[in-house]
Amino acid sequence: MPNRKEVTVSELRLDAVSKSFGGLHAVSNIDLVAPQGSITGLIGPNGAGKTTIINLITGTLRISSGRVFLDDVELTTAEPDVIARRGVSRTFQNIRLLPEASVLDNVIIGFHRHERSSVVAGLLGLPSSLRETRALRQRGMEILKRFRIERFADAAAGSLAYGHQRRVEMARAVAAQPRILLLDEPVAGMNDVEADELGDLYEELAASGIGLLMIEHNVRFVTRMCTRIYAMASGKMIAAGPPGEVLKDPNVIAAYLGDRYAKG
Amino acid sequence: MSFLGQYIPLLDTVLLAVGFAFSQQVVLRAGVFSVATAGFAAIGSYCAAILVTRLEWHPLFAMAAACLFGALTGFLLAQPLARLRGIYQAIATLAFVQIVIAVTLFAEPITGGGLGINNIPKSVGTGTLAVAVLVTAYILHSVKQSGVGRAFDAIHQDETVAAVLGISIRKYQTLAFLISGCIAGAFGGLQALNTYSIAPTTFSFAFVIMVLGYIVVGGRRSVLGPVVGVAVLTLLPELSRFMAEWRPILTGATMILISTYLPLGLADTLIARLRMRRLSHAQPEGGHSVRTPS
Amino acid sequence: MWIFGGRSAPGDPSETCVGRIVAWMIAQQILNGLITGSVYALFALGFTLVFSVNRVLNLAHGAVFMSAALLSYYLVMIGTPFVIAAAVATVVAGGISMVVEFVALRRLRRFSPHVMEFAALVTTLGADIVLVSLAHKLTAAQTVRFPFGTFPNQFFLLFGLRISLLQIIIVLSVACMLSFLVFYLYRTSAGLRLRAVASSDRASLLLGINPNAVYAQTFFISGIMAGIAGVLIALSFNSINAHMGESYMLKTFVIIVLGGLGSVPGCVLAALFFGVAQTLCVAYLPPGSADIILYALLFGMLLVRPAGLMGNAANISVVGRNA
Repeated sequence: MPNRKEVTVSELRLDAVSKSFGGLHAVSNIDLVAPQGSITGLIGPNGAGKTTIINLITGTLRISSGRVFLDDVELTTAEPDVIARRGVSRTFQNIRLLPEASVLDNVIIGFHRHERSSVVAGLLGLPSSLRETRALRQRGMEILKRFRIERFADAAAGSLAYGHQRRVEMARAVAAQPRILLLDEPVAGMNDVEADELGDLYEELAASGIGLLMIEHNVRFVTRMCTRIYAMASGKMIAAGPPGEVLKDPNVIAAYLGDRYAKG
Repeated sequence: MSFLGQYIPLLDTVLLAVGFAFSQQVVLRAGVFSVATAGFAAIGSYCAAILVTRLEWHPLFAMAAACLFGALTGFLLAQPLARLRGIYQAIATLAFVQIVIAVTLFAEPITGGGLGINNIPKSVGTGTLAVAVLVTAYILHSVKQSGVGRAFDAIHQDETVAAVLGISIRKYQTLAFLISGCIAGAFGGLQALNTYSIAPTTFSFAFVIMVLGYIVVGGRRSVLGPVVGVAVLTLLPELSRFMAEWRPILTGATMILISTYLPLGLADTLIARLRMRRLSHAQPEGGHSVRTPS
Repeated sequence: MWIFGGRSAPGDPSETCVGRIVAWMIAQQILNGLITGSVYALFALGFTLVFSVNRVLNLAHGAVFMSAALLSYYLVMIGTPFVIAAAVATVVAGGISMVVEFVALRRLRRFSPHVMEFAALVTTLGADIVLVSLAHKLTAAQTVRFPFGTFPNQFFLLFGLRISLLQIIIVLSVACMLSFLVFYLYRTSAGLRLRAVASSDRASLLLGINPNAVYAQTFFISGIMAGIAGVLIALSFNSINAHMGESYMLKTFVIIVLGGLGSVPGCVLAALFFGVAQTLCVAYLPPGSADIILYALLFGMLLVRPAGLMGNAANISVVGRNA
């Protein structure tokens, strides 16, 4: 089966996913597809339920109804760590690093799902474990260089400036070599130059076969990056398609600006 | 020689305390809020004492059984507790300690009830204890260098992040309970074979407090932490009569002060400071300083 | 034997008579258990109050309780009338509790909640050790007792069951404290501020509420409750020592887990249930086994339903498909 790779399109798929807290519907009936190798956007005003979607995919919230698949594996009820080991990585809207650990250690922990040396080897300090640790440190440094933060390798992650912390978080997510990477407002608070710099990196990642799903408010950035975007409002999906179309959609404009601008 | 001789019992106590502190440190390091060390220690201690006195096992086999029993108890205890939140883990493990003590009091025919087990032949000396401490320290040092240690650190600092990175909290907290149980079981056994007699009161609430105190004072991450903690809390009061008299009050006050002002503990704070200093020395004059990156 | 003082009708067949006596003894045990339970409730309520506002387990609560008992003893010994001694001891207990908050917790609030949770356990434990060791030195490690006749030893019959004046006072004061707490929490502006801080101290700061004042207040009320419980317990068992708080702390853990951490009605119900269960265990089971059963109950509860009977299911584990 030489050309099997072309036949099966690898993707993250949500089928009619809903989430309610008590009687309140946070998101309802969401269908979404994020294929590997391309960048998908998820936009919508504050409170639309975008971050809830990411929490549902990664398993930090329980799905009320509907199903989530990665390729053909169902993730609907899986625990967060299982989902991560299947190849779903994420970043957080309010960056979450391990503040006491060094920058390098923060990246190395991203490799966790690929570590092979056994627990016993770790306990006894066997060469296999020590070798792996050395190799991981080296690979960690390479990733830090790619994100141009290698000079902070030994500093405590919590002591870095905001922009650098964001890079460390990205580096950690990349270290996990995910199949799907979920980005929650990756360029929030950055200027256009910084954003574009990161944008190049995302394109690189997509080109290497990773599927990216990003929540973003920056319309310019989304238009530049995404092949397809989804728009949400009040927990519902209101539009989906190429950025040009979706951003012109009257429903989307109404959701962002209020009804009276929709017909303008 | 006699001058050194008078310090041998103190040295034994210190070595045992370091062992128990290691057991407590393993769980805290993995973000488990367990105070079960006292329970594991009691189980290991009674296990070794009963096997040696009643069944006349060789001390070596009795010790192996104590380790195994401690580890097994840790493993079983972890099954329900590995997913509970911090405070609940603390309460549940405290209940576990109380159950162990209540059982040792109740099962008088086997455990000797409140009187405990006496006339245990002494087969463990200072040398054996020192070796046991060194072996444990080596294992904990290896853990620190390995993926297991990294997983522990991640869970301890942020469970959500750890899970999102694919770290199974259940698996690693179970492992932490198991290691902690094994270490405490071993040192409990060593204590029984070192001190002639054991009783339920040995492992009561005061034991829980002291062991927790060692880690709070010393530090949760470095292997040096428990050693420093034990040194401060047991050796300092021995230095003067006055301090010995006020020892519990000093312990309490030290715990408050260190938790408030040096939450990492003495050893860990020192290590962090040294690392910071090395970092700032390593940066060339024109280079970027750590705190204000360009 | 007082149990034969009941009103079993003459001429009953002896079998039913024995049956009645047994039933009646059990009823008496249940009554005693309820009264013990209401003291537990008072003790545990103060603890729960602090937990629900501060999100910390105040391990020094038992030491505050012991301090009140000991102080009332010393005041009585220097000739203070009992009622005044009890009142002073209770208020001082509230003060000690505030000092605990100030010394052990105030500086910890700059940490993240996750760090603070652990640090607070350690610092309040430290405060507990300091208070208990001081009391230990003060009493020279002895158990002390009120002089005979400090409190009148009167008994009444209630539906054929024996109840002492002290027990009646216990029930009344527990009922008073409970109604005061409910009134205070839900009918006063101070209570409103307290609930605001409990739900979010940052948000309440924006509303102009000073969280520190509220924290101090909760510790004062909690200390008062511990103080009343301490004096009542000291009287009913007439035995005061430095370590008397420890066993109550351990029982309180069982109670708050049964009732659900932070739930006031759950706490009261669980305390009453625990009082009865403990009294019956001690009365009818082999000596020494009561503790095993009660702690096993706690342990089992944590496994089956960690949120307790009336607690909220959220926030039991940090990660996982929770909500």
